[in-house]
Amino acid sequence: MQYFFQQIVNGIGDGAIYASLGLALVLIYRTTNIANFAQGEMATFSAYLAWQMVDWGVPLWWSFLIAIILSMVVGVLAYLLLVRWVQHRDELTIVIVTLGLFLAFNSFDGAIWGFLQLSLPSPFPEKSFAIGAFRFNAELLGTIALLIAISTCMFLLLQHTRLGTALRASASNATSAMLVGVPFTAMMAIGWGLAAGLGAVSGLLVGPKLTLDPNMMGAIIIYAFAAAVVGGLTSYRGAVVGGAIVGISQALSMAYLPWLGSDLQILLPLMLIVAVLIIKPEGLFGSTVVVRV
Amino acid sequence: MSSIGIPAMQSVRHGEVVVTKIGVGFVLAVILLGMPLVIPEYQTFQLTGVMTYAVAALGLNLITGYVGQVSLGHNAFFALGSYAAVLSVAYLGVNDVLAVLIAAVVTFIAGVLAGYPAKRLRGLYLALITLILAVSVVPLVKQFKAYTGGAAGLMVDKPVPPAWFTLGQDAWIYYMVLAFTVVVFWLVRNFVGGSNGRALAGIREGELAASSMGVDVNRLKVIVFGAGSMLAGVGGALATFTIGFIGPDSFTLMLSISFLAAIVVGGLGTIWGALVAGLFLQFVPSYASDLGQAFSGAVYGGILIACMTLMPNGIVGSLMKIIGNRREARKAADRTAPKSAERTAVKAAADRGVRAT
Repeated sequence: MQYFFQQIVNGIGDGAIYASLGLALVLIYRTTNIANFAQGEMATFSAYLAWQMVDWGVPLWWSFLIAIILSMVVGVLAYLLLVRWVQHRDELTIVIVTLGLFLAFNSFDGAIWGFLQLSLPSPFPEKSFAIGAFRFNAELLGTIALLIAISTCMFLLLQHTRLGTALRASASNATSAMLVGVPFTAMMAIGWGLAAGLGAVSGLLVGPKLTLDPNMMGAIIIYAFAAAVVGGLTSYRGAVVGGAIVGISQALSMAYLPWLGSDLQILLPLMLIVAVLIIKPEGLFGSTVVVRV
Repeated sequence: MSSIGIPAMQSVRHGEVVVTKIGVGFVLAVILLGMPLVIPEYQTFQLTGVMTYAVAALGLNLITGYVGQVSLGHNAFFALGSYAAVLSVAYLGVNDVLAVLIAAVVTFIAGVLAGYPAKRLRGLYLALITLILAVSVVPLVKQFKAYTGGAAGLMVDKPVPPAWFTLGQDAWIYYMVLAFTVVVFWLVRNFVGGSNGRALAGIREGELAASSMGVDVNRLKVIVFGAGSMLAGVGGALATFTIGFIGPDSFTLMLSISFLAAIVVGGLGTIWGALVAGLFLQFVPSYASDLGQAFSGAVYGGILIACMTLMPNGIVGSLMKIIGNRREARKAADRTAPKSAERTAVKAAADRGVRAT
């Protein structure tokens, strides 16, 4: 039983990473109505930026901060230079263009930093605590704390500031928002910038756990999409809960279904997505129904 | 091909157009059949590759170009067809042609099963689910190592020509693949040429409108997904017999994205776009990888973005548009203007066409 709960705790740690990337996906989906397949590769790029800073001798936390800010700039540029021009085209065009972005970032990373594996230092100390019979390491607690902090900031920003109101207005009705003087393009660009920042956080959390190479986020982005879809794709709360669900079910299936092997774990998010789409297509926190889990 | 046929067609009346078309077809047939006699063996092998890719690309063009469903799982069906063909030769002892047909049946069934949930899904969800399908190919192949040879792959016996055939093995495979390709293109052309084609365009442009006009949207979507997947399977089986090797590394997500890039370049929703896609898939990757590992991704990414934003009709689509505009202009000029004004009108219309694309 203790083993079971320990798996759940570990699952929540991974889930927090999926949730942060899932939040980025939801943010972009809500503001620009685009599923950004390049989100994971943009996060990998952020991790490389941080690695480069560390390599140049910048202190660790500063490197991470600079990497996040630069990533936000990249996100804004991606919107202004490219996405803006295809935003109102059909779904096929948008999916294909974000796939193009995916490839562009992937090969850009490879061209500059190579395909060899690099290692990014962890921002958390290598300590672990025992509370009762459970063991928590600092990384796990730090990840969860970070996710809570990010979610709170996002909530405050979106619900309690003028900027957040303008962002939500542009997303829900572009024409009306423009009529009352909200600069639409700037709002969309800020949305992409924020999402890139969120993605960067997930990249910086994944980097130290795995090794840094251009395909680092390949599987993570799929789990993040699963998290977002389970949560309903339009709900921030849904992305967080979805991330926890995906993380926990992954940890449990690793522990109790060893015959799946580490390779076939990728079928788990497929099953989750299909199950959600069949049972409750709008997701757990989809636009109309709200369910507490 | 169009450069031979079109100028003649502009100036002749309807009956003569048919004659011209038959003439073009005859010349094309002679060229295709005579190819292995004049070009070196390696180029025959490459042309065979073009056709195998074109068949699979035609399948994706049915799903994505004609119906507008984004599938990233084309590599999965390509792989499934390959393994079905190879395993049925190994375990059932059938000959190569029968193996390709078995691969077609297997991938059609799998495609219909996958298409069944797909019919309910909007573009994004379908893209997601097929994306997961795409990345699970390599793990699955590794999991069933005993049959698939795992990561190392398997050598496959290439089709052996009968004793009377003296042109060599590559030419024999060329003719075998050519026969399949011609049949597939002919079948698809007939399928999309008639009322089905208009129904598909209806689904792509507006599902609700199509269904209110009596189109059975769901049924057609599932059938097209099955048929498109089947063509991926046929293409995969033929490609594997051509190359003589099967391994998971050739069936990654990158293959799906390449297919997508290729049909976007060739022209979404056009038959001949698939042929351009075949050429693209056979030749671009090898040139791109000569320039470095990172570069091939950059090439695909750049091409996808550039084509989608600047030339959404692809090569074939844009050509057809230009030709169509010219013909319209010529007709209009014939009706209204005297001969002297004709040239300027045609030219102006052609310019418009160029700018419009």
